[in-house]
Amino acid sequence: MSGFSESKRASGDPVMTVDDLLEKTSRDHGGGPVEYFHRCSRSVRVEWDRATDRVAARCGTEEGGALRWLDPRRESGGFVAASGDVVASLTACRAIGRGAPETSIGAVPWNPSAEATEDLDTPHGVPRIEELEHWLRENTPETVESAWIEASRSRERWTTGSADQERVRVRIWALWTPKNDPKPMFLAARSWRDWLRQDALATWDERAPGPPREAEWPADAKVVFSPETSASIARALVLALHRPGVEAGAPVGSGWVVRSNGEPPRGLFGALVDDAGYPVSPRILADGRHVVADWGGPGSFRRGSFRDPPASNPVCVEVDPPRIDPPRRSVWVTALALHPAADGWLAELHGREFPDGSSFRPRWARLRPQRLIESCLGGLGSARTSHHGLGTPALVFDAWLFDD
Amino acid sequence: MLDRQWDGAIRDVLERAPQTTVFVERREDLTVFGETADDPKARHTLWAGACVERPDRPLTFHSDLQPEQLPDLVSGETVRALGERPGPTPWLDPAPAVAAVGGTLVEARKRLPEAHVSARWVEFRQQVKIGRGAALFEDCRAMRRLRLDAVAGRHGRTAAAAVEGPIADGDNYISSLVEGLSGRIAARLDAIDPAPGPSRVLFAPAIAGIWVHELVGHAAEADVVQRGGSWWTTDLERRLDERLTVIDDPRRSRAAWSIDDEGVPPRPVALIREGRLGELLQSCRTASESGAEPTGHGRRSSYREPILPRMGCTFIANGDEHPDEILQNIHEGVYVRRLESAHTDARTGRALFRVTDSDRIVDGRLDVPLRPFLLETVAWKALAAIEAIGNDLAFDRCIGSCHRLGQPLSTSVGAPTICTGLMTVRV
Repeated sequence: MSGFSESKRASGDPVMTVDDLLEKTSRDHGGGPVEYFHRCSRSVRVEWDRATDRVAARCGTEEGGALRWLDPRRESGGFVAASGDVVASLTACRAIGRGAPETSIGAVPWNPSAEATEDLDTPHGVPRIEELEHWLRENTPETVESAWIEASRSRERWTTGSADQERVRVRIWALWTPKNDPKPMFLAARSWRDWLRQDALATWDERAPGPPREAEWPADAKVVFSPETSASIARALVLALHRPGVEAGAPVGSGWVVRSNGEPPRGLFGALVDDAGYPVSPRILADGRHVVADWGGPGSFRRGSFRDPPASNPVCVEVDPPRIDPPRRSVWVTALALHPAADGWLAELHGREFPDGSSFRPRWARLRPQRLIESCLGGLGSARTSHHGLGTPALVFDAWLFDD
Repeated sequence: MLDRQWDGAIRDVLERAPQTTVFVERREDLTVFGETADDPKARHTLWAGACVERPDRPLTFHSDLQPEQLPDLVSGETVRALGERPGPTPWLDPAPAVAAVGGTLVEARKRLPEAHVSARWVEFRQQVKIGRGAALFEDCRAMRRLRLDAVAGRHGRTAAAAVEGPIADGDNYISSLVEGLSGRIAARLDAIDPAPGPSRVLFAPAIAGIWVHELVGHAAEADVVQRGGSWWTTDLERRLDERLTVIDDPRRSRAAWSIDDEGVPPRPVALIREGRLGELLQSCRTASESGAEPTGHGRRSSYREPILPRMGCTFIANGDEHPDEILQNIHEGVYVRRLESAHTDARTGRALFRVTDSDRIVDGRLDVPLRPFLLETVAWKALAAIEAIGNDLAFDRCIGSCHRLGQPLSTSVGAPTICTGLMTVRV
């Protein structure tokens, strides 16, 4: 029996509940199991263009649901999604899905023994438009050309008819676009209270390139990635070297200590269960000596939108290296762009003398994932959570991370 | 279809508040994906919604809005719940797409038994109604395309290749795509690294369209120019080769529109006309702020987003040289068959492209294939270094969505064979 309380009555017809619709959907597809996921999100965004001082706001509600089904032998199935409230979207999904050909299900995640859960963030409320605009005007650095901030409250519900799960989240996002740099900076927090506590300006200042100097990057200097660039490189490494199915045992540097920890209240995307109904549990991915595990499988299935089927995604990763003393001779990486190459990445790095010296010429370098994690020495300072949900401090790498 | 009841609801709003803009959308997306080792999987989604814009008020949106709920959205009240309604009749039928992807994989298995092949069918259909001023507008946009990717190995070396194209009814697209894929994957197994540094580049037909989309098109979006964020404003007096004309015409796009999302019919805009910088791409807002006329390029990727000036189909007009003669005149260079944008800075005109399929040119002929590499270019330098423009204009042989400020949009590009110098190969 689904705990969804929604039901609707058309004039003269019997009340149609979610349970009714799920049961009918199951019959449509031969009586196999069905699963329904619904997300309702109310959001407010304020955009500010500093050059024109134009402020624009938008607000609204987006909701919709996705239906998955399997045939009774669990050999084929389908996925459809439609916008609307619970009953409207489920009705629409049923209408679309009735004519759909049964297609391969491959290795789709399906949890036959899901348990009911409630995972509700303490409501601190979503800030009003005026509060968001005030924050933008008071906190946006002078060197930002345009900025936006968005606050949203989402309610997600998942059911197979026999077990229901519910999750409520408030999240705040912002984006600062610099005046002389096309690469914007994202900020994110899981409540307005956390948002107001964070030091966004510190992150911005870490990007400062320093006075220009036409000097080459010193070949023997250690490399310290800012927390922002550390998050970029750590995410790329986690995706490459801890991907589902990867074999454990590869050597890593003493600084490569990584865990997947999706349990609430940790992390931007922490939750009791994932978006396919599986419980989330912590997992060590690397222990400073070896690759221990991958991030895939039950507990890692997430949906970017209600229109997406659940797929493994490392959204709750923490890099927690042993903290080390700041290296004497090192380069602080202020900006990083990774471009896929045959055996890793071709990277464009911008850096300055650490801790606050003048900048070097941009460096192009081949980076190989295995070499990178083996050269990770440790971390500096406290961890920060990126908009991808990855938490890391500034990571320190030995000079030989470069291949050239 | 969007109910005719919408027309009356929108007109009612416009009569009461003529300054209001109403945008209503229904959209279906169908993706079918298959791999050599597996049967195809389908994903069929339907989304609908509406937004309302009024002067000095926030843009307000709501998904799955019904005509009788529009007054609530306009007034800012909570949108009231409605009773049950029947499920929609879908526009798109997944069955032919699943069959096409399955058939493609069967043919690919025959031709490329050793390769891992995947096929992706992407299709959408969108209907919009727009109320603006005293008028009501309606448009329907649709697109479908198929992309094939292959990975193969030989003697410890691996190679990847891809082909794709828009699909029209009646095309014998499966055979031609599989044939194209099998030719490239076999050749690419012998690929070598290109020589890094400055290089002469010859773009295959259609491919330079991506280059001008990034370098010229984004720099000509009027809101970017008005913010001072475009190289266009700083280099306005420069002259280019008078053979160069770059046009954006949304009516030629693989996902063409007959009115934009503000109700304005699009017209072709010459971004560069015979070597001189031409017009900008305008929405109603950017046009009113600069005293220009809207060009019909105002688009939003969904009812949740604000209008931006966007490209539809950006292409380089035909030149008069034969492509074979252009190739014969190149002593050393690279022939680019596929590329994708990696980074663009509209302010400086600097852009990076990832070249995923190319050949080395030696003494006027195509030599060995090259492994993927980055191509760095600066708008003015590369545009000024154009040496030859072919007479073989083609469209959409390398397809991608354009993402701008978080808004994806299906766009088209086109170009004839183009030769330019002053690009930097990075490996």
